[in-house]
Amino acid sequence: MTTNIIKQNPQTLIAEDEAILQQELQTALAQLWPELDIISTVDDGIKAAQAIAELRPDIAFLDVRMPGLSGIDVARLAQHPCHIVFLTAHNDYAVDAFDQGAVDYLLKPLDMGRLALAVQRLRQRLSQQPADLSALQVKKTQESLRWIQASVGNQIRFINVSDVLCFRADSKYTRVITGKIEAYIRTTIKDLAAQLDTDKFWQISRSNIVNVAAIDAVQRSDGGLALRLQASDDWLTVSQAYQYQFRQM
Amino acid sequence: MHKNLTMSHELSDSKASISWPLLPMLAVLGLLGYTRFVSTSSAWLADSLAILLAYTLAQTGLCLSQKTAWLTHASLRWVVLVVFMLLALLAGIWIEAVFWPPLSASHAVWLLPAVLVIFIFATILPAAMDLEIRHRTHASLAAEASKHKMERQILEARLAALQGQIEPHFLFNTLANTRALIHQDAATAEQMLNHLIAYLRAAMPDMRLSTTTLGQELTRAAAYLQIFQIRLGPRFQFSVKAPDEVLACLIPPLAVMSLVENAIKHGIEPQPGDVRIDITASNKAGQLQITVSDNGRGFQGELGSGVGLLNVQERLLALFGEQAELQLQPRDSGGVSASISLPARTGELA
Repeated sequence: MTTNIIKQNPQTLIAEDEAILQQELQTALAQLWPELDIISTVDDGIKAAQAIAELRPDIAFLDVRMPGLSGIDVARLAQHPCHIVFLTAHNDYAVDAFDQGAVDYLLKPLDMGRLALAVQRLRQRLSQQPADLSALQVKKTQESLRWIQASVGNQIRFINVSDVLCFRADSKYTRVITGKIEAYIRTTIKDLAAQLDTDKFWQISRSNIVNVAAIDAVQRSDGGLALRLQASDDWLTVSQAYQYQFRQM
Repeated sequence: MHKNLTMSHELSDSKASISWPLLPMLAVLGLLGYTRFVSTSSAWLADSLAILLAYTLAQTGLCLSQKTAWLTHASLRWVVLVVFMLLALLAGIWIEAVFWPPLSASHAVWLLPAVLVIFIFATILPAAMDLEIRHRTHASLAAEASKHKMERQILEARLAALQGQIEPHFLFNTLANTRALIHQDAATAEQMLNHLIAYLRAAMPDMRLSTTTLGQELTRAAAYLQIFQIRLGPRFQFSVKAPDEVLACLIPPLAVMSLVENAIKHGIEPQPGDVRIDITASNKAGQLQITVSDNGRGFQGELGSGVGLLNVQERLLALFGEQAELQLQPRDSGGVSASISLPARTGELA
């Protein structure tokens, strides 16, 4: 008695929100890899995540910029491990992150030679376990904060960060104080400190970050330091842990 | 990480450098008191009193002219000063005549006025001229500074225009679509190329100009949105509505495009399902109002590092100050309504 192992054709999902590009990729794959089964094509990230969970494809071609969820998030959240190829028009998504693990990425407009290479790699890897991408992260761009959106009444104001005199913690909000307006935002002092340019903004205590350019005077008081900002009469205490910033002055 | 914390002082303020004539005034009062106890009249007392009183009045005039806030014009300040100098002269003559009639008669008639005039001129005029020169320097420095700031803003706008012309994502995605369309639908591929050409043509305006017309900017925005119409298919719709009379209005380059690009990038592209953008422009009592509304994803985070809208806001502020405004509002139906309002001008922008 012999058992016939029916080798099933590999199955793939294509997630690309622009129909013309989706069509092009489908046509190209049909030519380069006729036995590949395109079991589903979707046009947004949420549908892509659902399709991966329900249809359990072997391969997924994911556009990076999609409505709903980004391709990166779809890969990270995938409930079924599959071999993933990212599609992007411009490699501003720290492409080196893709190089970790058995992932490939293709730049749009698609280069047919490059697509053929990706197909070749996928064929080789099909028998292997797909890489675990649950830890996949796109490197955050290290650009420092430039503006803050704060609602003042029904209006959204754009505050240029360089106009901010200081940030002060105020119960569960953070008060943003400029020469002209005061507004409240939800971002905490801790999160702000991580994103602000440390040459321009100094944290001086757990609840205060000041614009260095707005410091008017610094004085010693009771063995500690206190500073006063322009157009203000209040002296703010510089906590012990943050005094090192003033040593070199 | 260090910085010199020096208290910076403005150019020393001219108002602080003159003081009220308190000492001469006290001396006048003292001398007046002295005359009540001394019965014999003396020439030196009368002359000192006249000169001191004249000086006090003239100096008071100088102080008043310099320290009064609403005397903004140099000529006004001179008028006040001259009036006080005349008062000083008359007061000097008068006090001598009142207190020592016999003495004043014995002078040559012209002597006392001449002495007073020379004394007032010698003491007050140099100070007044010095102060006026400082005023003028101060004003011209301030004008220079604001002119520099303006020029810098225009240069920055031009640089932003050159750098931020065409977003690579937009360009490569559009080219990818165009190439795919050549095989799928050649006629649409040609349309796509036509829109791309129109967009690129408008995207490279004369960089020597710091302004563009609303018409040009709307043409560019329409070409850009046509491209998205083809790329995103029927899920995306848009409209551009502007009466003919506002098309010639001048606006800072990229102002409208920045709003449109922002709506596409943060509102439309990330939002699944049917989406739309509506652009309207109108002239309301001399204010040009341009609104870009979308029904996309709406506001997400409150922090950002992108410079597009920030640049628009700063350029409007630099060109028009309080007369222009960038407003963003969440819409009740979802999405964002972004509008700029600026003086409707067709000749010179600012």
